[in-house]
Formats: sequence, C-alpha cells, structure tokens
Amino acid sequence: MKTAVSIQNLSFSYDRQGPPVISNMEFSLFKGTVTAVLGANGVGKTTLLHLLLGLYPPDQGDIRFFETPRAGYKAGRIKQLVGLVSQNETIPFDLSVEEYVLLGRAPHLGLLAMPGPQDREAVRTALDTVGMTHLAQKAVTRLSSGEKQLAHVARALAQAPEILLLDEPCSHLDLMNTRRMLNLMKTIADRGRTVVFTTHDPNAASAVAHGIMLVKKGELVAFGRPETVLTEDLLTKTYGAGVEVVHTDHGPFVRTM
Amino acid sequence: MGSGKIKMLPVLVITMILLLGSVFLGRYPSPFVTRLSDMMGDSLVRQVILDIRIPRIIMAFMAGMVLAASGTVFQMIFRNPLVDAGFLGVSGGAAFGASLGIVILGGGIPAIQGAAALFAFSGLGLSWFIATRIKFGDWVLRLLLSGIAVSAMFASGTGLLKYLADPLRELPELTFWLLGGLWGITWPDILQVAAVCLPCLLVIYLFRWRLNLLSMQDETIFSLVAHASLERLLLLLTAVLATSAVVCKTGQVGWVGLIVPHMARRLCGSDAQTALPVSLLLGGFFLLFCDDMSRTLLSGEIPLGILTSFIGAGLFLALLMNRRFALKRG
Repeated sequence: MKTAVSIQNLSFSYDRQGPPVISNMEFSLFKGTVTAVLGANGVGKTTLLHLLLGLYPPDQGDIRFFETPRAGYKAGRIKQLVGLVSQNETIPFDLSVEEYVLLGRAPHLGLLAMPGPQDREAVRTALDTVGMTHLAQKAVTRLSSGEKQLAHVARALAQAPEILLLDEPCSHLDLMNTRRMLNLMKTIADRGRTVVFTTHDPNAASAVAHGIMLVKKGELVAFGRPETVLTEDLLTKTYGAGVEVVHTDHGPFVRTM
Repeated sequence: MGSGKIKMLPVLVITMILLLGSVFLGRYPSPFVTRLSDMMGDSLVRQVILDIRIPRIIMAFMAGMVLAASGTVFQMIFRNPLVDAGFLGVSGGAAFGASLGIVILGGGIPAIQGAAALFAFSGLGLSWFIATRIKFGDWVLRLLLSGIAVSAMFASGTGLLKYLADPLRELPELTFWLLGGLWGITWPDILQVAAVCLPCLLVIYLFRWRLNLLSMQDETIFSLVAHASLERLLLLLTAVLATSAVVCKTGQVGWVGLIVPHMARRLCGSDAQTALPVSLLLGGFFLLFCDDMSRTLLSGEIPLGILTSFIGAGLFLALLMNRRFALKRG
C-alpha cells in the first residue's frame, strides 16, 4: 500500500521555553485508511492535526506526504492535498450551504477566478455524499449542530484533498449523526482518501478506524489496529483512569470503571 | 446567486434615477428643484450645475461606494458585522491628522489633507504593529484590540487639539471638518480622488468572492488559501488607501461603512460575490441621498456627517428591530 503521510521525530512547542506539546512522534499512514487519534484533553491531538496542515512549523522532525517532504510542495498544491475540518468552526455571515461548500473549491481556482460550472458540480457531489442536497439553499447559521458539521465535511470534500483531517468531528453529535459521520469517513477512505480524525470516544474510533493512535502528553503511547491498541493496559496508561475492554464480534468495546 | 443578481436590478434603476434627479436638486436659482427651463435659459444656472453640482454628485457617489466597499472589506476580514473604518485607527488617525493640519500646520488644504492621509495610514500601521506584539488571541482579535486602543489614543489627541484650537478661527473649521461635508468640491478634486479610489475599488471588486473565504476562521482560511496573510494585507491596505483618499476631501462621514454592507446583505444574501456590487450601489445611493438633503433642505449647508449618522443610526435600529435580522455566528 502507498504511504500517504509519514512523520519522523516530530516535536513542537508553542513556547520554546515551555514543555513540548508534541514530542518525538513517528508514524506512517497508508493511503485510503482511517486513523483515529485518541487521548485526554490537551494532550496535543489538535496540535498534531495543525502541524500536518502546516499551520505551525515543527521545532524538529520531518513531515512527508506521499514520500515528498511537506516543504517540497508548492503552497497552492499543498492546499489541494490536505484539508481540515476544525472543531467548532464558526461562520460569521449567513452564507447558504451551497455558497459555503463552494469555498472548498478555492485551492483549485486562480487568484481572481470565480467558481464555474465544474466547481458547482463538485459542490453538488459533495452535498450528495453527505446527504445534504435538500439543504443547499439554507443558511449555514440556521443549521443544527449535526447538519453544520456535515456541511463542514462537505466543504472539505469539495476541496477534494488526498488527506482529510477532522478535529473531533463527532463532538456535539447525537447517536444517529455520529453514526452518519463515522460511515461518511469510511466512505471517504473507500474512495482512496486518507482520513485522520481526533476523538475522545474509543468506541467511535474502533467502529471505523483502520488504525488508532493513543497520545499522552504529546507522545505516542501506541499505534496499531483497534484490537491491539484498545487494551485495558494501554488505555489506562493513556488516560490515567481505569477502563474495562469487552471484546465483541464487532471489535473491542471500552467502558470506564 | 441568481436571485441576488435579480435584486440588484431595482437598486441599479433607483440609483440611476437618484443620480439624474440630483442634478435638478439645489437652492439655486430657487430652493429645492431646478426647472429644466432655467437650466436651458440661464448660463449662470448651467455653470452652477456643471462646476458645483455635478462634481459634488460624482464625489458623493464615489465616496459612498468607497466607504461601503471598505466597510464590507473590514467586516468580512474581521469576521465582525459591527466593524468599519472606525476600527483599526483609520478614521481616528485621519481625524487627528486633519486636526493637526488645522491647528498646528496653518490650516492650508494640502496640510489638512496630507496630514489626514498620513495619520490614517499611521493608524493602520500602528494597529498592525501592536497586534504583532500581543501574545494572546487569534489574529483578528489582536488587530481589533490594538485598533480600538490606537483609535482611543488618536481621539484623545484630537480632543487635545480641539482644546488648544483658537475658538474663533480654528475651532469652527475643525468642527465642520470633523462633521464632514462636500462643499467646495471641484473637478480637480474628483480627478485626484478617482485616481486613487477607482483602482482600489477595482481590486476590491475583483477579490469579492475571496472575501467570503477570508471571513472564515484562521485554520479554515489556512487550509484553503495559499497566501492568506498577503491577501488580507492587500485588501486592508486597499480599503484604507481608498478611505483615506475620500476622507481627506470629505471629512468625517460616519455610518456609511457600517450600515450599507448590512443593507446589501439583507437585500441579496451574504455572498460577497453579489453583496459587494450591491453594497457599492447602495453606498453611492445613501451618501448621494444624504448630500442632496445636506445642500437642499436649509439655506445653509447641513454637515454631511450629521445626516449620515442620523439616517444611518435610524436604519440600523430598524434593522435591529426587524425579526429577520441576524447577527448570529454559525
């Protein structure tokens, strides 16, 4: 399988004097897979996504996409390659869902170009994938939390990135919408995209992810298939609290004690 | 987007009617309406129209377009529908510069206009510099906070200059400039302002779709735009340059940059691809309408800033009290 993302010896801190937020991280992600990043609050999950996006330069280490160093890509190309759906993304003006999703086409347009029929077609496809075609003309600010989250994913799909980063995509979602979001990530990966998402829910991770990373204080505690990573020992080490893992036909099920 | 374009048509028609009608409004030879027969028969009336009224109409329309376009740029880049050139120290800097020109530099037109432009840019530069030194919050918050502080500093400087001004000679001129107005606008003024403002308006117009992008939060912009900081800087500098070019000639004209972008969004939706052109038309319409009243209602000139603030605030309240009005975030 082709390697989509590879990280070598990655370290980062917001304040050079302060403790590292990400420390000596190393991993590789295959193309067309879903990877979940699990860990307690404030361990550096979002920072890891932001480093992959290039929002901050790492203090040390190497980030490669498809074997090419991140710096080897032109600024415009990298925007076509990596997409991000932020946590609690806010939209200040009443754009319609269609107008908002259309923004995802920006990396494919010239500086002064306006979106054309091809871009609108990409928006229609993205809305169809997330099941929001009927809401295309509704203002994004008037959507429910779940619909809003799906609209963010549709915007990222319209961007058509090879690597899609989702920061806690299931937070604020009810059971049905969580299931919808997880299925959506699986669909995106089945189409050859590489998905990385952060979550607090080990069961959501095990339901969809090919690989799970456990992160504690910026360090990778474990990375592997759900059944090898979601063990009582590793989860207790990661969260510092006792958990019980029940093995079911659908994979490991985690509950706190 | 289609319905937005359709809604633009009535605005265009009404604006054209006002532009044409304004030529017939004035206080010479008789108050309010100038008859066509007077225009045809009286060479002095024709001269008044050609040399005074038409330059003023063009300036009012152009200034309205510039203030509305700048307001749209500021509101979208700062992701805040309550922002206009008053933030970032631009208007405050221009007011301080003009006050300095009147009270300290002798009160000549080049001194007033030059100092106003210089300090408008200083306001932006200072706000930008301070924002880079603030250690918390995202870029927009840092720039807004520093802009508020810089505006307050300029306001205190303007206050000091008003206190020092000669109450008989300098204070009336200073007060009138701070209240804004288009008296004494000539064709050379139009050319000077147009030379700066029309290229600026063209840049803003060409970037109108990207304003939608630049109104997203930092991480989203970063994931979609290759050189977001440069685009933001270009649009902000363009908006400040155009605003200062206008303010140098017109004095302080408030509320246009705040209320007009709101009206445009209400009329045709928030997509700047349509909202910006509508904003340009409405801005021109609004300031021309106010200036028509300013020069027609009374025998003396009513300072333009008084009318734009009065009408703008009234419209703003009407929008706020309308149930469909929403300032909410997504």
